[in-house]
Amino acid sequence: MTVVESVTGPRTAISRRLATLIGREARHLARHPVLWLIPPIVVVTTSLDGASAGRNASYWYGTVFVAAAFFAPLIVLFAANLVASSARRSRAEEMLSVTPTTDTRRTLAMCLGIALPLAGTGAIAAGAMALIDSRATNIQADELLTTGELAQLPFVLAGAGLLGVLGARWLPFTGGALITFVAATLGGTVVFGRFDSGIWWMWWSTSTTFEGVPPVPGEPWLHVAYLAGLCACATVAAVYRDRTQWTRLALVGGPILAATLAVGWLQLP
Amino acid sequence: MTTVRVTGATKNFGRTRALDSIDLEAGQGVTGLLGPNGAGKTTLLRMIATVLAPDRGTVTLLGRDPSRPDDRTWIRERLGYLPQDAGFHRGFTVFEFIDYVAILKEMTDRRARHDEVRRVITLTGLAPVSAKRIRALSGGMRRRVGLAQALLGDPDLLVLDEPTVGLDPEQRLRFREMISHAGEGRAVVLSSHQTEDITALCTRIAVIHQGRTRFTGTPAELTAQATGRVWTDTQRSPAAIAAWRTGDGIYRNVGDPPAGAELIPPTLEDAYLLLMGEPELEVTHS
Repeated sequence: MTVVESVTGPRTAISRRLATLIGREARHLARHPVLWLIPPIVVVTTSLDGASAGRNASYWYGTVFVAAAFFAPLIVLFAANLVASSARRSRAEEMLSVTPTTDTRRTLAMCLGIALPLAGTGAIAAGAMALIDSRATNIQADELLTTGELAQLPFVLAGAGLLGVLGARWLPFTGGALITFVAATLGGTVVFGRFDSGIWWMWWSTSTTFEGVPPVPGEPWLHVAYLAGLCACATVAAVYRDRTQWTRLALVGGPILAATLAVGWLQLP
Repeated sequence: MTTVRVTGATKNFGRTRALDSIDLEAGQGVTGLLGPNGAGKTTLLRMIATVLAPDRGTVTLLGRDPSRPDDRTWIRERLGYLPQDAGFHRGFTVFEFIDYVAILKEMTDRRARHDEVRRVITLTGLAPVSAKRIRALSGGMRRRVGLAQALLGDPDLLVLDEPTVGLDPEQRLRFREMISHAGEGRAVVLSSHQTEDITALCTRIAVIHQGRTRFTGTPAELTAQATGRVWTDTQRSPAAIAAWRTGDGIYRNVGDPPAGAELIPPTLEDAYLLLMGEPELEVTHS
C-alpha cells in the first residue's frame, strides 16, 4: 500500500475527491484580487448616486442590485478567467497534469468551484432584494423586479464565471479573456439586434427597458431556463475541451445546446 | 524489478526527431540521463512521467502500460515528477501549493493530507518558509518546492528533470542529499548536464545523444572507458579531442595519448567527452 492509499483510504468516492477539489477552486476564486474590486466600486457608485434621498429601502434595493448585477458579472468573468488560466500562466500545468486527477475532472471541479459560489452569491442577493421588496412600501413599482427576474441573477453571475473558464480553456493565451468578453458582448448585440443587448454583463433583465424597449425581451422564467442552459453549455464545452474528448463534447453538448437554443427561441415574445 | 522499461521509443515533433528508437531500463536506485542540450533527455523523461506518448515503441512503468487510461491513472498514483521548467501558482504559499497538489493526488482526508504535506516540507527543508508566498522565494527554494510536491505520497517512481539546474554549490549539495535519500527503496530517474551530480548520485547512467542511447551502465563502467586516454602535459596536445589548462598550470588532455604520455586516472567527465567525440561508439553494459 502506498502512502497515497494510506492517506486516501481504499479508493475514496469520486464525489468526495471532487468535493475537496471544488472547495479548493472556490477558495482560489474567492481570494482572487480582481474580485476585491467589487466592494470599492459599489461603495463609490452608491455613495455618489442613491444616498441623495437618504438610506431608505429603495437605496438598499438599488445597492444590492448594483453590487450583484451591475458590475459583478464583468469583474467575475475576468477573475474566473485568471483563476482558470493560472496553472498555464504560471507554467505549473505539466506538473499538475501527471496526477491521478484527470484534466477533465479538474476542469469540472473548476467549473463547479467557480459557478456554485457565484450562483449562491446571486441567490443571496436576489433573496435580499426580495426581502427588501416584501418589507418596504416606498419603492417605486417600476424599480421592482419580479421573482422570475430575480431568479435570473444567480445564473448571470455563474454564467459570467463559466464564460471566464470557457475562455481560459479555448483561448489559452494572453488576451483570451478580452477576446471572450468582446465576443460575448458582440454576440448579444448580434443575436438581439441591439447594442444595449450586448451589455448583458450589466444585467438587463427581461423587464428592464432601455429607450422603451427591453434589451433582453422575453418571458422571465423561460429566460432563467435559457441562462441555465447557457451555463450547462459553457461547462460541457470547458470540460471536454481536449481533442480526445470531442466525441463526448458532441454527444453531451449537442443535446444541451439544442435544448438551450429551443428555450431561447421559446422565451421570445 | 525493472520499474521503467522503454523499448524502441521514437518521438517526433514535426520534422524534428527528438527520440530515435531509444531503449532504457531503470530499477530501484538513482538512474541518471546524461547528454548535451537537445539530446532528447527531457522528451524521454516526459515520456516516463506519462506526459508524452511515443510515436513508436513501448513504455512500461511499474509493470503497466501508460497508454491505457486506467493504467495511466494507476501509474500516476505512484509517480512523482519535477519538470525542467517547473512553475508554480505564485500567489500560493508553499504549504497551499503542496496541499493543492496533494488534493490532485486524491488525498481527501484533510488531517492525513496536511500531515503528509508537512512531512515533505520538513524533508526538503522548507519548514521555515512554508507560510511564505512562492513568488517571494529564491530559485533554489522554488526547486525545493518542486521536489517536495514530487515526493508527496512517497511515490514508487520519481522523475526529476535537471533538478540541480540553477542552484548554487551549497544548494546542489543539499539537493544531492535529498535525492540520494529519495532513491533509497524506490526508482529515481533524473537528467543532468552535471557529471559531478551523476557521479555522486547515480547507480546507473544512460548517455543520450541525438535521440539515441550512446551508453548504458554504471558510472564506473563509463569512467573505465577513458582509462589510458587522459594525460597531463605542459602544453595542449594536438592528439587531444579536448584539453584545458588546470589551476596548477599544466594541461589536462583527453584523447589518444602520444607515446610516453603521463597518464592520469580519468573522471566521468573525461569519459563523457570521449564518448561524445566518437560518434560511432555505442556501448551498453549489463
